[in-house]
Amino acid sequence: MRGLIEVEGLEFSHGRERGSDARGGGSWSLRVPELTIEDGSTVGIVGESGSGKSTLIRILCGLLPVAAGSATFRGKEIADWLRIGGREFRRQNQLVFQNPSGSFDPRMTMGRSVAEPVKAIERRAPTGAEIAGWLSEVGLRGEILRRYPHELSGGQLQRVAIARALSLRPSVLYADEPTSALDVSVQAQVLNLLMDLRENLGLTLVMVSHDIVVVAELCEYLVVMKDGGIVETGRTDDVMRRPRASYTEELIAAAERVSLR
Amino acid sequence: MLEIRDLSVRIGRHQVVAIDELTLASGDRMGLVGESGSGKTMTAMSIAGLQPRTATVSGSIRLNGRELLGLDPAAMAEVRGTDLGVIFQDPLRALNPTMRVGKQVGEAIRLHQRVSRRTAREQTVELLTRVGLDDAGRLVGRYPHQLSGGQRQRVLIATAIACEPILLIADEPTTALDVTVQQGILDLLVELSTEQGMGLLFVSHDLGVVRTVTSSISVMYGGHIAETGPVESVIQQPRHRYTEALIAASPGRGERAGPAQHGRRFRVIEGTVPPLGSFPSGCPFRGRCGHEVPDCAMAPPKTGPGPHVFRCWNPTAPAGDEVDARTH
Amino acid sequence: MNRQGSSVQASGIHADAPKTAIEGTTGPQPHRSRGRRFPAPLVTGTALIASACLVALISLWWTPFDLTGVDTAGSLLPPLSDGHLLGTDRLGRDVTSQIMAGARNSLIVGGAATGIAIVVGVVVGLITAASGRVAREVITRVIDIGVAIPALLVALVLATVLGPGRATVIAAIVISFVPWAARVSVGPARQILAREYVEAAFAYGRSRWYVMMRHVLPNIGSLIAVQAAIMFATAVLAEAALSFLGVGEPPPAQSWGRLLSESQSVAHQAPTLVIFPGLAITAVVLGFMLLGNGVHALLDPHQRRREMEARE
Repeated sequence: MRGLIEVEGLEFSHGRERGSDARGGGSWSLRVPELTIEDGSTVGIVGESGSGKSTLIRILCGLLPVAAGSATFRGKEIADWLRIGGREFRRQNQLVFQNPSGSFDPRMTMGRSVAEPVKAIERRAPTGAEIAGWLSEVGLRGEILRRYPHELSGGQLQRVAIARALSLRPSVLYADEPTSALDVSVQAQVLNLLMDLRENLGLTLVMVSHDIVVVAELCEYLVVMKDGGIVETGRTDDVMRRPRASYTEELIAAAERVSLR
Repeated sequence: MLEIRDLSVRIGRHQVVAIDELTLASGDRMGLVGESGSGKTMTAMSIAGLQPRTATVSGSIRLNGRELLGLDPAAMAEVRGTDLGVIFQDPLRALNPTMRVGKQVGEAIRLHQRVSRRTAREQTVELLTRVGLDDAGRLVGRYPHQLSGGQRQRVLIATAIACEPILLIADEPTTALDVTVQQGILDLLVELSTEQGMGLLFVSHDLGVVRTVTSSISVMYGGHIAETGPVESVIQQPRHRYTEALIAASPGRGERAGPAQHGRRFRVIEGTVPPLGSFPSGCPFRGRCGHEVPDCAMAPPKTGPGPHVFRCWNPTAPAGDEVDARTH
Repeated sequence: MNRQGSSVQASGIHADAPKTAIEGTTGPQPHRSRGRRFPAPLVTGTALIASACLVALISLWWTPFDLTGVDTAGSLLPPLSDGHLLGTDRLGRDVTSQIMAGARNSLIVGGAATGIAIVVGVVVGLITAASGRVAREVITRVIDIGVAIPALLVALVLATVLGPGRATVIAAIVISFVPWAARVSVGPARQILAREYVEAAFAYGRSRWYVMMRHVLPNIGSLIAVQAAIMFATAVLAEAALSFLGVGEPPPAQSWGRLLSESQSVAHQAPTLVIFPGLAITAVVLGFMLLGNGVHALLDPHQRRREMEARE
């Protein structure tokens, strides 16, 4: 069976971008020899800062270009998708970010922000009933539509961000550290929500995290990254029980030490 | 050594901290744990005299018998240079970007000891070596941005312990660091505290991290201390409903998932942390708790024998089967 | 006031703009009280500019004396004589009327120059911010060169090519302002472009153009407004300097700069002749500077973040 997303010999390198090196910067590159993500699966991409995990998902959802190699979605090169059928590709690949308060234009009401994807992709204004429906899926009520981002809590904003991404009924949802900016007591709500939605909508979920323990509990497959390369991939149980790479062991050990068990 | 009584911090009309009692014995390590809005950072900053200018602090904070509240800024700065060290979450912001690392540590040394520049330089290398920077001789000539996050945090620790403080306040010192780097910093803090008999007030949102560092823990919510006690006692047998819920809701940290149970649901705490000034009266956790009794509308009294105390009208059952079943 | 002094003023055309950035505030600021109070600089600045505009408007229909009326007999009258509130100049013209008409000139030149420069400069800045790395580096260097060109030199060259006149002055100021406006908008625009909501917009298929117009421009708008106010002040100053040097609209048009230059030779006899136009220039420049500061304080982008932070 072919994977929904297939990567082969992918390379990408950032030049020395000033201003974008908040995470320790310099020039760095990403090399992914092979990676397959199957339709309907849950994949956790784990790594520390500078591992290239965020870059990888940005390439997979078409926000960054492929420098060399191949990255396909439904058997067709992403670059080709973006040339012809860009809108359909965008509709199927959506993204949720780490920082919920930065995910919304501070000058737009939540209502306008939530309506944006459908306006952009389907070239129509969504009806009030549709918007209310999306919000209720993430456990919010319509009254927040008139609010501005700074009037909502981080957890609420992240729910709206999920609602906005899912309004297009994508087939893949990429989540870049979706809970690390949230309070502990709110994290679980958002993770549960992602899991429920994934089941109900038949999504493929690709979640990026620095915390191997969290993704291990949520995802069937793990991809461990370090310094722009993939260290280990496999079924979560295998990786967690019998890690092949010493770096994976190190990550698990570090996480276990601060575990509450 | 550190004695806090009736500490109240207000910003405008909002009370953000209300602590009737918090003590730390000499050389002890205590964790101050809470979410955003819990008042943990405000408490720590008030002890260090670094609260925002808009905050009003009242009550009593004594360090080795000396009252810190009411000291003028110069005297407070003096205290920070001698008895009290502070380290922050983001070491890059706490270090001067235009000054070489060695000079910054050297200044911290010279601030409290009258030594020559050369002696200060030698002591700097010594100090940086002590905080685990092997290559101290070379690192002194670097600028902060040339160091890794972990190295920066070690430099910051070096400046904080340069004056051999009796109390070190660490505000989320590893939150910005990678997990594999974090452990080294935590170990270092424990080691320094043990060797020097230095007290440590460790502020964090992460119970698991605190557990590896401190001997006691205070869990804060809505500006109040919900529960205080020896760290294992609090984590293994939480009595306050908030502590219990927080532990259960910690993703990947709470109840163990069986194998091949991916996509399982975590236990959640309903609702969201209220914004400043909107915590309910009585128990601040009221409304999100799920174990409420009518009394919760009143401020809960301090309960519990010995060192493990909590403020909850309807606490969990003390020790026993339930806990054992979960931990083994 | 002498020639050297005025050339220093003219070089102020390309004075570097004050640092404005979206990130990084300096120190805690006093909490605003519950009622929405406008900052004092804003009120003062607005009042100064409003009176200048009013005076300029009135001068279109009415001035105390005829603007072109030369009366050598009544020359160099001190203030408050013969109904001449501010006295008369060398040619016996009423100074009050001249200053009133000069306000018109200053505001027209300042407004036109600032308006054109902001529109062109911000467009250049947005294009720069949105371009790829190589193109951005190239345009940035070009802008840097533009900022480095001495504005006074440009003005004098233009005057010899186009001849003196209002259009020449405006063109000279625009040429020196465009790189400035471009430069101050690139940084903030790139900061906005790095935000997650912009990434999200690209991810749901919005075009670069749409993102620049709907997300970036509104969010740097307040910074641009502040810059515009400072530019306006600088333009008024530059116009006076250029007119002083004879690049401006020739007589019979009125200009504060020329009033100064004409009174130079008699300044020791009638010091009020240089004081009053000087005060007029100062008032308008100060007005726009205060307005700029006031707008900055009012639209402070950190305001909301501080409110968020206050939750901790």
